[in-house]
Amino acid sequence: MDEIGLVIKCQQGDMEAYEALFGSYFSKAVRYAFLITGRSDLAEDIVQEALIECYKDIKSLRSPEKFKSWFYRILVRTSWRVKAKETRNVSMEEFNGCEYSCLNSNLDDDFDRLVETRESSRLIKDVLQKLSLPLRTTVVLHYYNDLSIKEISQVLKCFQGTVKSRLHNARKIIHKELVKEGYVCDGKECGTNA
Amino acid sequence: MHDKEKIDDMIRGLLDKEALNIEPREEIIGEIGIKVKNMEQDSKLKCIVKNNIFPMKLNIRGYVAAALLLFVMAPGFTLIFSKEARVVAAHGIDAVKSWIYIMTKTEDGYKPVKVELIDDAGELDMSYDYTGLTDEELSREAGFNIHVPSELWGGYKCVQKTKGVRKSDNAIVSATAMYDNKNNTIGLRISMDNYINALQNKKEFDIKGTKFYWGEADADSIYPNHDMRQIPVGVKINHELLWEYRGAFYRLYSVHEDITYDAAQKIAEHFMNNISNTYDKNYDAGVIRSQSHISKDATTAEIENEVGFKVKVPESLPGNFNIAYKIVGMDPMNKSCNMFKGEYNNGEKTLNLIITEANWPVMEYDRVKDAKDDSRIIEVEGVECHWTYSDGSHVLGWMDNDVYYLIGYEKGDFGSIDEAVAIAKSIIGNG
Repeated sequence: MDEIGLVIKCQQGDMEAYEALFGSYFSKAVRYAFLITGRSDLAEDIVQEALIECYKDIKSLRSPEKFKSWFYRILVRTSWRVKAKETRNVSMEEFNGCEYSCLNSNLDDDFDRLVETRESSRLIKDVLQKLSLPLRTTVVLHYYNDLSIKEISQVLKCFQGTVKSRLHNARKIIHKELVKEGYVCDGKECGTNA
Repeated sequence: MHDKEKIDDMIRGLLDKEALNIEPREEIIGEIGIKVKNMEQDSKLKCIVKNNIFPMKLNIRGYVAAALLLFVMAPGFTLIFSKEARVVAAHGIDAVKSWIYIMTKTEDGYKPVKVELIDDAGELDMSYDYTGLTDEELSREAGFNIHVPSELWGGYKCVQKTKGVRKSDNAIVSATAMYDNKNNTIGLRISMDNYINALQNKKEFDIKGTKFYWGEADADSIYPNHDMRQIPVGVKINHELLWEYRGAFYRLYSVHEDITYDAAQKIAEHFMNNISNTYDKNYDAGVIRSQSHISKDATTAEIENEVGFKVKVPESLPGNFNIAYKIVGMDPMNKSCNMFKGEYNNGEKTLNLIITEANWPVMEYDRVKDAKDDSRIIEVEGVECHWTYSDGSHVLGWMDNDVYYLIGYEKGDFGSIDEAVAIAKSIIGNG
């Protein structure tokens, strides 16, 4: 059954359809929440909360074809709410991997090699931390959850131009970080990190 | 590779790799499903308790209080008669307790779940009120077609029509009709909510081009001694009949007897064959439209002439009670029935005698029992009487000549069951 059919069945209270529909989004949703919060303990809570809200509100979704945007909107809203609540209670897990050690001097800008290293986790965490929550959300939705600019504008209820400028700004910040860390060069040939 | 694309690939790759550091537990989806169901039931319980709604079969004292009040004062109160109400058959006006048990369906069958009742639950966004609107008027206001048949197969007559109004935007979202045949009560809900796919093990049949669906709906918990604080000993599976007619969804359910497949087919056939007979045309035939005090000296024959059924109304009762007022009118809980109320006074207390041809509730209903609850069936002059405790006091009710009698104090309680029995004896033996 296609997604629209599942949404309609879900609206009629069909629990099997609910499981099938949300099951297809589940893993990506948990991982989105993990990337946004940096905490695995919060990620599942966020998704549980969001899924319960979805179940309660799905009857109010008038256009089943807009399910994806609607679902991500609830997920984003929930993650922001939880993140805001947790700001003062910073988990130790958030800092795992933050013990900075010198990068391997043999690393070059070969991305394949970079992602294979254990440094990649620390790097992306650092990079994401540099971004404000709206920018971070835009980046994760676009690059990880594969939402188009139009879809993100629907999720965040903003203009497509805003999404584009957020992506541009985020990209600039990330690029700067990658340059700083020596993974990419600043317009010059670069064989090794700094 | 262009710089921008390269950066994009790097970000994508880093995020993909980082995301693998968490392994989502797929079983959470199922856990959420169970949680949602429990929350729904819990929420319904809380809301209904919070809103002091008086479902049939509910708190008999609350029901009596409502009926007495309405009998004397202008109607205009809220009543729910729905699936939700059946779930909370114990909760009347102030029967708010901390928790009860309900049975919840799991993969391993039905399991008892302890449900907490919180007094500060949110407001129910719905109100259910009697409506005098015709189907046509109601349909116009609701925005979908509503057809409330005057009767159903099986001798069921429509006794009540209510509208469900969503308070937040004042929209009519449902119409509910109640049908009675003296042995059983059936509810019919008409709305735009399609529950057909929620029916389990359903069978489908066609009558005159309309598809009907019969299947298993929610199960009722079976409580030891009707006490909802005890772990249920099993469940009673209920069947419902659902169909779509002129764009609206009809949901028919039964209160006491289950709806068999055979009965469902006959009800469906009757519905399709009697489309033109609506409740609007017949519901108040022979019913006293407005209540009235009749003369204190009115004889039994004069009362019977007003209400249309035999009554036993003594002028005095044990305890030095003498009749002070005699009132006749439509039973506020069942608009197709008449009712008599006698008010007796002994200078200290007021005792009410209700006589109604409506099928009033009996004592076998699920509720939260407390230590004072000594409800039981007793025999008085060969008549089975229901001694019922609820909300801090007792009432005694019985059937006589196919009409229902009930006695209870306006305020306070009987000193003992013997006091109530003496009064009942005097009424049963009268005439």
